[in-house]
Amino acid sequence: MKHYKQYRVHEHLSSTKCESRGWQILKLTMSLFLVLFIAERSRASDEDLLYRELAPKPYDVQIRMQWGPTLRLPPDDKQEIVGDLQELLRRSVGSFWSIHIQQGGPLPVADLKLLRHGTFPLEHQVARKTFLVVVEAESGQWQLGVREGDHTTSQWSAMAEEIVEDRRLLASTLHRMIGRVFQPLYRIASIDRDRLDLIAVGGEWSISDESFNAFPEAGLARPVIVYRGREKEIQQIQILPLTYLSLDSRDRARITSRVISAYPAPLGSGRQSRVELWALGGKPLFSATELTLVLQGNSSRVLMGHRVVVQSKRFLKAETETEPLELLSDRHGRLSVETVEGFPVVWLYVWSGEALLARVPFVPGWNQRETLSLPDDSVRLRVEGELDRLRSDLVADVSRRAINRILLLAAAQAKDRDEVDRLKAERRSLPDEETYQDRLELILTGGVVDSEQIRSRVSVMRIRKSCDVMQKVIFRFLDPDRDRELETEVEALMKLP
Amino acid sequence: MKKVLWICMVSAIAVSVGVAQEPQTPGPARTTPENSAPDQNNAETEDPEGENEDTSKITDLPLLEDLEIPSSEELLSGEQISWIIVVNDRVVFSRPISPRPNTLEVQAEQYETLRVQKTPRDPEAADQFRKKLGRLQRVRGGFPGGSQFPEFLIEVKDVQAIWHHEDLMLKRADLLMQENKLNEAYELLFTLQTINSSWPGLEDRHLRLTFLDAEQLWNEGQREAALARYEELYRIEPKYPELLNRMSERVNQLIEAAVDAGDFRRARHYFHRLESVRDNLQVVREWREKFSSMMQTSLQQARAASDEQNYAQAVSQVERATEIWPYSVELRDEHRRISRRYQVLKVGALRPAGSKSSYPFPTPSDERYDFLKTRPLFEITQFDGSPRYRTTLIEQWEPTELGRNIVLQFRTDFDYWNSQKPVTSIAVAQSLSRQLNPESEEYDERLSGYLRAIQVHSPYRMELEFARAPLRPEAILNRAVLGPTDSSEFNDWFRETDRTERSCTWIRSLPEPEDAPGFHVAEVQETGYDNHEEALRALFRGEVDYLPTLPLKHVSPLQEAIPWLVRKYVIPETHLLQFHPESVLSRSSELRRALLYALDREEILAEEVLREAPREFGRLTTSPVPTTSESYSPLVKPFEPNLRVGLSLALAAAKTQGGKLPTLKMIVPPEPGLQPVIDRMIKRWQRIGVEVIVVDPGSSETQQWDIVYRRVSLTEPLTQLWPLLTMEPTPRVADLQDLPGWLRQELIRLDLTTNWEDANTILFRLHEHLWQEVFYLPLWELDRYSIARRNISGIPVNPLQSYQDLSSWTVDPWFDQSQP
Repeated sequence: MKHYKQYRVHEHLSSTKCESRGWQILKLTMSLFLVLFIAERSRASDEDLLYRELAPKPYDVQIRMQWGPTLRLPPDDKQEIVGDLQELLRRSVGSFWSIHIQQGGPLPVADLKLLRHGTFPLEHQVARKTFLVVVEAESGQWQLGVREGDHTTSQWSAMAEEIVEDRRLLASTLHRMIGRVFQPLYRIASIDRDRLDLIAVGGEWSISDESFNAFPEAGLARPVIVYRGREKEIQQIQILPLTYLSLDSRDRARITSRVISAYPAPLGSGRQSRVELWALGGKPLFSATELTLVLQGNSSRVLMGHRVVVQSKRFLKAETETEPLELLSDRHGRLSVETVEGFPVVWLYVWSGEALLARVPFVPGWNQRETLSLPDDSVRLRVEGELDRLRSDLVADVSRRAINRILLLAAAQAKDRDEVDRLKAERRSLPDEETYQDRLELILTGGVVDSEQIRSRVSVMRIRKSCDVMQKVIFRFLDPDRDRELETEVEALMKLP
Repeated sequence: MKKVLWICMVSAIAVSVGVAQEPQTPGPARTTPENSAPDQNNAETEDPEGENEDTSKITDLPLLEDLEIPSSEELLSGEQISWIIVVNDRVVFSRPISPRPNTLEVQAEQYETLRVQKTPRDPEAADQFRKKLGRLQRVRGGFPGGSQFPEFLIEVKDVQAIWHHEDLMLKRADLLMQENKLNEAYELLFTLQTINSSWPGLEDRHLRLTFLDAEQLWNEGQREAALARYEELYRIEPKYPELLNRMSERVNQLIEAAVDAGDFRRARHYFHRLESVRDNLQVVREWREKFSSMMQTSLQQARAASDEQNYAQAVSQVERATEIWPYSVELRDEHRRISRRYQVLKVGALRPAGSKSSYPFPTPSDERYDFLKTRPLFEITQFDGSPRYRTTLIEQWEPTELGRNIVLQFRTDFDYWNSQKPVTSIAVAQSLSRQLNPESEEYDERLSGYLRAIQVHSPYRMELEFARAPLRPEAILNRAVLGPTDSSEFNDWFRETDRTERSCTWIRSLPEPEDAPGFHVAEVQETGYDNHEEALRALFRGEVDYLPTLPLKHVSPLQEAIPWLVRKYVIPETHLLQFHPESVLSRSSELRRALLYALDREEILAEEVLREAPREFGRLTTSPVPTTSESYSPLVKPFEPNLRVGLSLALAAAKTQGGKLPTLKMIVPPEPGLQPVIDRMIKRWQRIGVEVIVVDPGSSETQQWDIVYRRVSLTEPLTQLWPLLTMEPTPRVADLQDLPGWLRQELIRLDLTTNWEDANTILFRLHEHLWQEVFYLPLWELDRYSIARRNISGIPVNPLQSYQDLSSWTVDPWFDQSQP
C-alpha cells in the first residue's frame, strides 16, 4: 500500500511537469495533510475504543491468603480477619472492584521466603489482579507478606513485609500492605517523543483511598511491552529496563506522562501491530535498593570498585537541591541506593576512572534488588593508567628541561663554553618529543588492539580521544622548535661581546 | 695607677732599708746594678747596722695583716707577683723571684757551700767570688709592672719569708675550699699543676679538693659520682684522714637504698666496690651476712613453693635469691632444678607486647602481641621468595572440584608442648560465620567474596565451598579461629597475666603435663627499655635472655661472640613513607615526586640509618615488597636524587595549590633512633621549599597528618599489598574510593586472580606503577636480627617472627654470677 502510494505520487508529479512549481508543492502538501488527517482520525478512533474499553473497567481482584503452619489461629478468627479485610477494602475502593478473598494459595507451604523469591504463572486477563498474602507467626509476633500479580502483564510486584504484635491489627495492616503493593495498570495510548498518553484501567471510577488511586501524587510507572503473535497469542512480555513514566497530569482516565529513560526513544512510535504497550504503576516499597553492577553479556561477572554518583538531576552541572552521593560497588558488585526525599527518580552516574560509563535513571526502593549491566571498560581504564604515568614522567622531564634551559642561558651569558656544551649534551640526553610520541603510540596501539578484541568500539573511540589530547600536550611542552630556538639564542649570547 | 704609687713608695723605702735599685733599662746618669752592687755589698758588709738607722721608713710598707690574698681572677689573669715579707711583717711586692720555690733556703745553702771555699788568688776571680757571695746574701726582686721597672735587692737577714705567686695561688685555693667554691679552687690548682706540678703543697690541696668535691657531690645527691671521687682519693692516698669511715658510711647508705628499692644487683655492685677497697671493713662484713641470709630466706620460699607445685612462684623466688646473693653452690643447684621445671623467657624490647601507642599503625610490639595471643588456621613459617604455610590445627586439607572446595580434617591431638587445644569444625564454622557477617567486628570482606558455603561433616571434619577457586586458600584462611573472648571457647596460645607500663607477662594457656619428659618455655616476661642500647646492656647484665630486635651496628661483633646466638630474620624490614588519602600529597603526583627527588636516600641510609653497621645490611628499594620476594620486579629502576628537579616539581605543585604549599605534618613510630633520619629528610625537603613538621599522632590538633613513616615486612604481597595501600587492617573495596580508577581495578584484579602467572604479572605491574606514581615512597630495606643467650634453644635458624615456634623453645637455667 505504501509502495503504491509512493508510486502514485511519483507518477502524478512526473505527469504534470508543465505545471508551475508552486502549484505542485501546494498539491503535495495538501495530499500529505490529507494522509495525516486520516491517520490521526484512525488513531483517535482507536484511542476512543481503548478508552471506552479500559477506563470504566473495574479490577477483578483475587486475594489468596495462606496461613503459616506454626500459626495457631481458630478458623473463626481467620474468617473474622478475612471479613475485616474485605470490609476495609470495600471502604477504600468502593463496590465497583470485584474482590474475592480465598483462603489457600499456590505456595506449597505458607512461607515468606517462598513468597519473596517464588514466581508463579499468571493467566492473561486484562484488569485482573491477584494478591498473595502469607501470615506467619514466630516468637509471639505476626509476620506478614503480600505480593501483587498483574495478569495483564504477568508481572509480580516486590513483597511488602511487616511485623505486628497485636492480632487485632492484622486486617488493617494487610489492607495497608495491599495498598502498598497495588500496581495501577495503564495502557499507553499514544507516544509523542518523550510525551505519552496513558489510559488508566478503571480510571473512570473515583477512589478516595490514595493507595488505590490510578493517579497518585508524584506517581511513577514502568512500561511493559506485550508482543502478540498472528493469532493474538502472547509471545513475549518485556519490562523495559531503566525506563520510567512520570505521571504528570490527568483528565478523568487519561493521563499525560513523561518518559525518563537511559535510552533515547525507548518505546519507539508505539504504532507497531501486534505490540501492546502497557505500564504498571507502583510505589517504592523499600528504603533502599541493592543494585548489582554486572558486565554486559556476562552477568556472572560482577563489577567491583566502580564509582557511582547518585544525583537528583539528569545533568551533573545542573543545580541540585541535594548533595550528590558517591558510592562504590563492593566485592560482590553491589551498592545500596537509598531513596531520596522528594526525588522518586534519581540519576546514577557510573564512572570508570575518568570516563562516564553509564548515566541511568533509577527509582530506589521500588525493588529490593536490581541489576545494572555495564560495558567492559577494562582496556580503556588500563590505557588511562598508562597515560597517567606518561603524564607524570612528562611533568618531571619538562621540569628537567626548564632547569636545563635556565642554566644553559646563564652559562651562555657567562660565556662559559664548557658548561654550555655540557648542558647541551645533558639536554640532548633528556627524553624528547619523539620519545614520548613513541611511548604514546605504543599505548594507543595496545589499547586499540585490545579494545577491538573485546569488540568495544566505544572503548576504541575513547582511547583515541585520550591519546589525541595527550599528543597535543606532549607537543605543547616538548616542541622541537623550542629547542632549536634555544640553541640559536644560546649561540647568539655566546657571540655577544 | 695604684701599682705605680706602690712602686714609687717601695723604691723610696727599699733604698732606705738597704735595698739597692737595679735599673735594667739604661737611663741617664744611673748606675747599673752590676756596677753598683759590689760597692753596696761592701758597704753592707762593712756597715751592717746601717739599716737600723732607717727602720722608721719601713713603716711605709704595707703590713701583711692588712693585705688580702689576691683573688683567683687576679692570680690567673694578672701579673705574677711575689710577696717578700720583711721585718715587722711588712710586705714588698716583687716580680717573680728566682730561684723558686724555697728561695731563702736555696740561697742559704748555696751561700754556705760557697763560703767554705777558699777565695781565689787571682784578683779578678776573687772579685767575682765576693760578688757571688754578696748576691747570695740578698734577695733579688723586681718592681712589678714589667721589665721597664728596676730591680732591687733586699738583705736575706731582713726577709722573713717569700710568698711566691704559686704560694699565693695555694693560699687562695685554701680560702676557696673553705668557702666551698670548689670549681674556682680546682681551676687555680689545675693552673698551678700545669705551671709546676711539683710545687710544695699542691698535692695536699689536690687531695683535699677531691675529698671536698666528693662531699659536695654527695650532698647534692650525685651519689654515684661522689663514690667515684672517694675511690679516686683512696687510690691516691689510702691513709687520707677519715676517708675509710666516710666511704663505709656512704656505701652503707647506698646499699640500704638499693635493697629498699629491691634492686639487689645495684646493692651488690656497691657492696663489691667497697669490698674491693678493703674487705675487712665492718660494713662489708655485715652486708655479706645480710645478703646471704636474705638469699637463704628466698631460697627456702622457693623450695616451699616448688613443693606445692606453685612453679611460677618458685621460679620467682629463686630468681630473687640469685639477684640477692648468687655466689652459692647450693643456690645454683636449686635454681637449676626449679627453673628447668618452669622455664621463663625474659625478653627485652623497646615496648612490651601490646603496649598502647598513639601511633595508628602496627608496631613490632603489636605484632608480637598478636602472635602470642592467637594461632591462625594457617601461618607462614618459611619464605624462599614466596611464603610457605603451615598449620598446627589441621591434620590434612584437600582441595577438590579444581580448588573450589576444600575439605579440612582437624587434629584431635597435639604434642604436649604445643599449648594448643583441639578446635572443632563447629567452632571454626562459627568463627568463619562471624568473619562473613558484615555486622560483626571480625568481618572479612575478602573471605566473604570467596566463601560460598560451609558444611560441617563431623566435629573434626568440615568442607568449605568457594565461589571461585582462591589462588592460595591458606592466604585467605590465615586469620585466627577464636571463640568470643569471654567464653571458654576462646582458643588462645599464650595468655596475658600481668601488665605494667614497662612490662607484661604471658603464660601458656595450656600448661605442660607434670609427667612430661622435658619442659619448654612456660612463661614469657617482656620488659620495656628506653632504647636499644639499654636493652642490650640488660642482656649483657643477664636481666633478659632474648632481644627480638638487635640494632644492626651490634650484629657483626656479637655474631662472633660465643655466648650469643644472633639470628637473621628471613624477611627484611622495609621503611617507607605513605600519604594520607585526604592530604594534598594524595592529589598531587608532582609534589610526591618532588619529595622523592629531593631525598638522597643512599646518603641517608649510609650516614644516618646504618652508621657503623655494614653497608650490606641495608639497601635501597622501590617497593614495600621484600627484594628477596618473587613478586619484586628487578626491572624497576630507582630515580636518581635531583634537588633541582625536586624544586621544579614542588613549584609546579605549589602552582596548583594557589602558589603556596601547606606545611606538611608527619607522624613517626614511637621508636628511638629515627629522629636523626627524619631530621635529615626534613632538611632535604626544606631545600626544595617543602616544610614538613613532625607531630604527635595522639594530639587532637594533629589528627590530620600528611605523611606517615612506616616499617613493614610483607610476607604475602598477594594479600597484604591492598591493606598496605589503603592503610587498613583488612582489604575492603570501600577503602579504594580515593585511589584512581585504574589502580583500584588493578588491585581488584590481583585479588581475583586465579593463577600464579597472572598474579606475578599484576604484582610486577603494580610495583612499577606505584613506584612511578609515588603512591608511597619506599626508602630502604634493612635486614633484621634477633639475639639470644645461648642457653635458649629452639629458635629457628631463619625466623619469620620473633616468637616463631615459641612453645618448643627451651631455656637452660642460667644466672649471672659475676660481680656487677
